[in-house]
Amino acid sequence: MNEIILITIFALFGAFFGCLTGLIPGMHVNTIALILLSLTPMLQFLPAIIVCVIIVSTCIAHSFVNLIPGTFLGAPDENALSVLPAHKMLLEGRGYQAVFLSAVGSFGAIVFGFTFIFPFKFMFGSPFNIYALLKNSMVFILICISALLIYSENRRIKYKKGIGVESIKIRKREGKNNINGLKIGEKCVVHGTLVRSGIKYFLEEKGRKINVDVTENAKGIFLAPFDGINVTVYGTIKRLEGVFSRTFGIMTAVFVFILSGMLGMIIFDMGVSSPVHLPSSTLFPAFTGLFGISTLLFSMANTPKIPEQRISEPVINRKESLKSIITGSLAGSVLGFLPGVTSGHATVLSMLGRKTREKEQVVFTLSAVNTSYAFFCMCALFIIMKPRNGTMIAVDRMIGIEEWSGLIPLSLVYPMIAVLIASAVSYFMTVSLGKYFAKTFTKINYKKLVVSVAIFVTVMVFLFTGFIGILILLGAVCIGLIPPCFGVRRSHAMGVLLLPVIIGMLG
Amino acid sequence: MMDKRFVVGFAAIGIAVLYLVSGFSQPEEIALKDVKNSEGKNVTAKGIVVEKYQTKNGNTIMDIRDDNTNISVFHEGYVDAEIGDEIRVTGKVQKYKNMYEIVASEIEILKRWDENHIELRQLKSNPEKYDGMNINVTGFVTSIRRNKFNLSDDQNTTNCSIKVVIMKSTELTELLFKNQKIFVKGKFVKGKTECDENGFVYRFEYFIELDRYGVLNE
Repeated sequence: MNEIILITIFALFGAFFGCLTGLIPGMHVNTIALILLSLTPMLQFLPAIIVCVIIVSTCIAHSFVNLIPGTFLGAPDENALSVLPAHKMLLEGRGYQAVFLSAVGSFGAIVFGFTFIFPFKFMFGSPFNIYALLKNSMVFILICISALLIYSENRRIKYKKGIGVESIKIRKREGKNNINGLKIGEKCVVHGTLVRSGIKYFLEEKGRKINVDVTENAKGIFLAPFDGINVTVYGTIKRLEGVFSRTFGIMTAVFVFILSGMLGMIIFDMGVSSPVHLPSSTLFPAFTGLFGISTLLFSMANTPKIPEQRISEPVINRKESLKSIITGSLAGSVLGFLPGVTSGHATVLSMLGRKTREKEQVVFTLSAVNTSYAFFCMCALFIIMKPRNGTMIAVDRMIGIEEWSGLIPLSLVYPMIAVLIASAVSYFMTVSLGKYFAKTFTKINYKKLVVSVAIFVTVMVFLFTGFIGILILLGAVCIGLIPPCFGVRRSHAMGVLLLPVIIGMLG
Repeated sequence: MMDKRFVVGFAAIGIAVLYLVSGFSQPEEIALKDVKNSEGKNVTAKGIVVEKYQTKNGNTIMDIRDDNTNISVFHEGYVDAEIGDEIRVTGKVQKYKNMYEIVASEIEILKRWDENHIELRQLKSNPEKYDGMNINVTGFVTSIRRNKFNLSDDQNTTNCSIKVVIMKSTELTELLFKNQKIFVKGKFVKGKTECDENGFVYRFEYFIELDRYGVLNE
């Protein structure tokens, strides 16, 4: 019973620490691992298993709270081409709901983890040993993930000059019969026959086709009733989708993937050193730049008006939510066992697996992925005896990991108790922190907050990785700004991890 | 769908189940001679410390013995156990330089050597078992010499007796008289030749290097 009390105390300690680190935007769990690893000599007086308990509970709590800065910071203007689901909810005044959903998603992943730990043990360890099988085909799995990631990009780049229709009249033949010489944004009046092809409409006159589409601020107009009729349209010249829109979208995705992949290759063997002797990793500035600061900058450029936040619990579709949590947890758990991949890859995989793009479901899936990845990295250490992320390397060094024989090894039982305590505590912490932020949020100047956070994170990067880190950060920010500007998904920037690993594995 | 009660309930039940499970998953206790069959496993084993070294890095290497099997135990840091103590080690069995050893995560001292009384008869019948160990025996003092005396099972017979050598470092707490019942603590060592003051050479099979003694009141 004594151990349990000791574990409870230190799991709570770890959980609070994890809640703090989780609030720092762009802080990756591996960076936390490095910090903890550097702290361990100071914790020498504690038994090794207790230090492991602290590490494990910090990671779990971090994965819970991490979505709070992700929700409240970096939301762009509503008219931006792509808005992250959590940001979309924030702009709808449902920031608290997004945080609540992520807490549920994370806890769901813990429930999933505890329910399926034995099946996973049998699948990945003896007797089935899927791990050995997967390990050998790892490079193909990664190539497939990358290909699917790029191919599933459904952004259509608008490149063809056409008319954004604001109003439409029948039979009056007014204005011009072409749009030659007109510039983007100019008002125009054009006549012709409205023709439909697939889902697109054209204005045909003397064998020449002009793309037309209803502009966003004239939603009441439908083109369908005018199909095949001579009409005059009033509107502005815009760029519209053409035949190659999808191709261009995928090409942008490929571009972002390769560019970030090149960044990844450059920094892969690069050593950075902290000016104040903190443990450092090149991935910290890279990730902060690609996904953190670039989002903040984009948000600064298109500052949104944050509406009053409603504090109410969301109504969720149980069946769909369960599906999302299971998909997320499954992706997180399977990739927790594999070498060279991180929770980022798991996110990509789960988004490919879960087709629905409903905001609530995406939030569920993402938070489930992160927590499940953190949990199964720990289990992987006991099932296949290999550490899979920075934190587990720390644990592996500290306690002698025994092979999982019999019911369950004792050195896994204690961290698992810590996981339960940490996850229950962080669930409530996340929910109440989310509530607190949602309430105080509208009172602060959003732009100032975003700027100060961006500066804070940059200072952190400097403290951890020095000048070289700032250079990496700059490069990463530039690449990270491409996806929101073109409206493609940010996850293509995962090339920073995928490409170097694939190339490394191919030899 | 997932309210507070569920979260708290799940965590509480989970912890309870894990606590119960932890009772079952204590490492199994094995005899020292079976250690070589459990490489990589976590085990618990009992034995008496026969040797102990401190490495330069402050780690401890000990040899423990049980049923004439010796196994090395490695432990990070200082260990309180002394030679002769009966200890229980919990740790992982590893092969090191072709020998099996237990990398101990936990060492529990079951019996200090000076609390562990050994019968003289036991000592006589199986001296190899206690070779080199600290022991604690009781008996009656028979022939006293300047630096040695005999310890015997019985006041009258001398058939089951052992030589005790008084070392220079021995604390002489009480005077020794013949037929006194005393306890003797010291190291049990093997064959060494000794001369008495007349130049007569004795050869002992085994004797005790006296560390401490005390008179027992009847």
